[in-house]
Amino acid sequence: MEIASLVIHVRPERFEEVREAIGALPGTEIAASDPRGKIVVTVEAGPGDRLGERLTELSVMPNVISATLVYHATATQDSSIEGAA
Amino acid sequence: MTGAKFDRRDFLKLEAAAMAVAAAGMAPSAQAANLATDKDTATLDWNKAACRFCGTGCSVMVGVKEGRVVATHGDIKAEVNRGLNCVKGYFLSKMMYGEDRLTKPLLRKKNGVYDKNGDFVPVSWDEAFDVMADKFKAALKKRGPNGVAMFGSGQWTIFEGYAAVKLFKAGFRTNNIDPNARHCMASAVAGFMRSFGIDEPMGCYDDIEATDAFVLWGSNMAEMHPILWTRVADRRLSAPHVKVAVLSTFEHRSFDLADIGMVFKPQTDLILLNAIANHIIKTGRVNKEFVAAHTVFKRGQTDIGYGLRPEHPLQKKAAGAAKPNDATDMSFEEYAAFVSEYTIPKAAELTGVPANRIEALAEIYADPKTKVVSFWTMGFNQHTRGVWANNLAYNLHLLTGKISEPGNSPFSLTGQPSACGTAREVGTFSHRLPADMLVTNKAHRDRAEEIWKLPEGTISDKNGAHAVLQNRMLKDGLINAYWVQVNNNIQAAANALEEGIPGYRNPDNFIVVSDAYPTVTTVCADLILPTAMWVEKEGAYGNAERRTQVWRQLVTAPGEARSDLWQLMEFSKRFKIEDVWTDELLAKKPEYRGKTLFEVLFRNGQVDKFPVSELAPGFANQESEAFGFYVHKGLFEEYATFGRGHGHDLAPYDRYHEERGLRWPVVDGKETRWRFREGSDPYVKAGEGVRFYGYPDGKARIFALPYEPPAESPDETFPFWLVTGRVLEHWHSGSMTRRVPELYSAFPEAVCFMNPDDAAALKLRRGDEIKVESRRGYIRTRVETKGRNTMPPGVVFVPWFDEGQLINKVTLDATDPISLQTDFKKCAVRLALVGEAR
Repeated sequence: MEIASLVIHVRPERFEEVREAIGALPGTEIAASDPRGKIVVTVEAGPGDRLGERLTELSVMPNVISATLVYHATATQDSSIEGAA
Repeated sequence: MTGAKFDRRDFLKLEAAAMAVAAAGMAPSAQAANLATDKDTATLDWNKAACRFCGTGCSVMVGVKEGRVVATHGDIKAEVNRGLNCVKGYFLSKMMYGEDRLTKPLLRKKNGVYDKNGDFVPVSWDEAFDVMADKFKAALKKRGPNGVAMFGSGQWTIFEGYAAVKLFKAGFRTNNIDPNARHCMASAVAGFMRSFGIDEPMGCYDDIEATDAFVLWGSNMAEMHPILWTRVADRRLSAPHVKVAVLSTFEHRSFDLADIGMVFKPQTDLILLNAIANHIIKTGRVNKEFVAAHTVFKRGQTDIGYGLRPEHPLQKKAAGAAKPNDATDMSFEEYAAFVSEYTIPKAAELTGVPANRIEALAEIYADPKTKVVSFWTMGFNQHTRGVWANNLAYNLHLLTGKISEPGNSPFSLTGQPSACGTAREVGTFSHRLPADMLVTNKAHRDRAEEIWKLPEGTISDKNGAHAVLQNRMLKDGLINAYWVQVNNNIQAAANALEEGIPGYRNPDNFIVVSDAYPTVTTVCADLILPTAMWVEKEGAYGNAERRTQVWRQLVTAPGEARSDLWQLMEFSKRFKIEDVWTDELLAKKPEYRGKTLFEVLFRNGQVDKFPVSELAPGFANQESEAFGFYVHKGLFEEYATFGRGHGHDLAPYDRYHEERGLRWPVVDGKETRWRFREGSDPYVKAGEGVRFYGYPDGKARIFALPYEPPAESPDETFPFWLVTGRVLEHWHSGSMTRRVPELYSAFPEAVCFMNPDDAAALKLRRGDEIKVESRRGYIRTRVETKGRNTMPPGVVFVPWFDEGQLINKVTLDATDPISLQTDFKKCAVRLALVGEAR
């Protein structure tokens, strides 16, 4: 399993449109957004999925000015984790 | 969420989201805020490292579990990237684990012995170095010092580049060593040296948040420097008055943010630059005080040729080819008269850009109230007049005094992670020594020989063979033993069919290639050495804003792979000083008799000064363990001696382990953000204000340079311009990024981006297989009329990452005659249908 998060800059006037387009991609969730033109997205991919392709798709999506990765991890799904706080 | 059970997937997603929210400067959600205390992150061992890819110099946190890199995230403490990391960062935790990683030396053999026409067979390091040393010794005996050569890289760590320079320039006594940065940054270097007398940008990335306008001259930052582009976008979107101008020979992703987009005819950027200078003068906006105090005017040599073989007709007829770097003094009035022919209407006619857009761009520079950052990369540098383009851009900033202060910055971006730190600062070019010194300068050679404890006259006073010349000399059988590290030059260098491949396969030559993965270049080699990469070794890189960064070894390379540094130093043990130095030279230093090159170069009381007890506990350091001293620290401290007190000061080595890099000159523990400016640069004295101290007179040079045509332009037989370059998904030749399977499938094969009307006229449809053919060779590829690049009529773009479609069989090896850098952006091709779309 792989998890990544990205910060995406979009043209403010196309903010809603891009949000919708991102929401429609499988494995992709919007974690936070700012209508001035920023969207934080998490992407997850199972063994057969193609995380790299999804990252590229997000980068070259219309009205996306930039898509930058923040976090990427590869992990086995054998452990569950106790909530800490 | 107290006490709630949720699985690892949920946790990782939350953690990923929290980090991204923080990096984006947005308020964290309550849930995400709790994560800092989670115990799961503690199971990974996190350490900083500089990213392995471009010259931006992002710092990343690398998570290691059980000896393997399993996670990365942008380093929130890093000023460069502030927690962000571009999509290429995704490769960082994967690129070391490709299935075909090289793990043993491989030698071509037939019947158990080396044979140029044999097949690759695994051999021990001992056997590999034995054969290699024999071949190097034979070449030295047959041809003298210049019978051997090395081709290195802007991806070498500082230590690797420094050890290589020492081995070749001091040990083998040849200057035949050049980095692949010759293909990438050489025009920027020569541009700096000509305009300022000292290399590398005066400003830094802090300029991005301080400026009012960005001008991209031949740089697709959106795809090639995404983190800097994110900072540009942030500035543009948060300050509405900020303007972005993007110039290119075709429309690419960076045009999405452009307020002024300009597609010009190839090579005519020279006309635009001169037209803007003329506009500044004609509208009375020259900063006269600044110009009088800090600049002088120079008329550059013209008709300088194209760096082709001397017998080429274009070379023969170039009257100024013998001394391309020459210049004579001129006055401001003469300069003004020189550029006066470059009017905006004329520029519009010659460049194809509407006059109102040229004027809007010219106003960005001319308006004294607008701060401006100019960015450029390969569009300027890979250009037969690339040095001129660099000089002409500096002219605009110098005429207006918009330089060396926050927000006013001509900024040459860098393609490779240590093109600045290693190739330029260490001086791995065929004409250079560390700290901007030159092999042709006696005082500079004396200084290097003194630091290296060598007898006078050790270093050759002749420039060595540069990248393009090395390939020609291999083909001509003049270089017979050759070592390539950290690059894929058969794929990267122009005119592979006529020069590169015949050179490597010439029966007189022995070719050694060190790499982590098989490439087109390893296939053309005789001996392949398996290399440790990135955090498999301690490293240091220098980025485009003069920032030096260091990381520790975090994991161990697979199999018998060893770092380039270990390879260079271990190989030096195979040579007795008598094998490589003359009796005459040895007579000046008789105590070196009987010693090995390793002892003379690396056991010299300096490089071996620091014991292994100084290594940080808990980290491996295989080179230091192998040689018995802290190799990296010793090499760094000896190297730093060259620059300290001379405007290139580096901090003590250990400090870099604590910092997210420091921008040189680092004086009294403080880094320098804006050079040449009083108050920011310690080399500018109180009361001087600005001093361009690279030249003894403290003045920068404004150059009068005309438009001259490219080496090859389209004609009836070859009617299209061919431009080559990169795409977002693949870095350089793809030897690392193409190891990640899903990325490979995202952009598996190169395509030919072309204009839809051009395609229709040739009866080509999207997806059709075509031949792209020049006078030198052809490739087969497929037509792409949509997608991220929009081509104007008459221009096609083919990326060069695909080893199945070697576009450099088609390109021309014409270079800038001053920088000797190849122009990969302009040659003439024709297109023909091979097969219909699949």
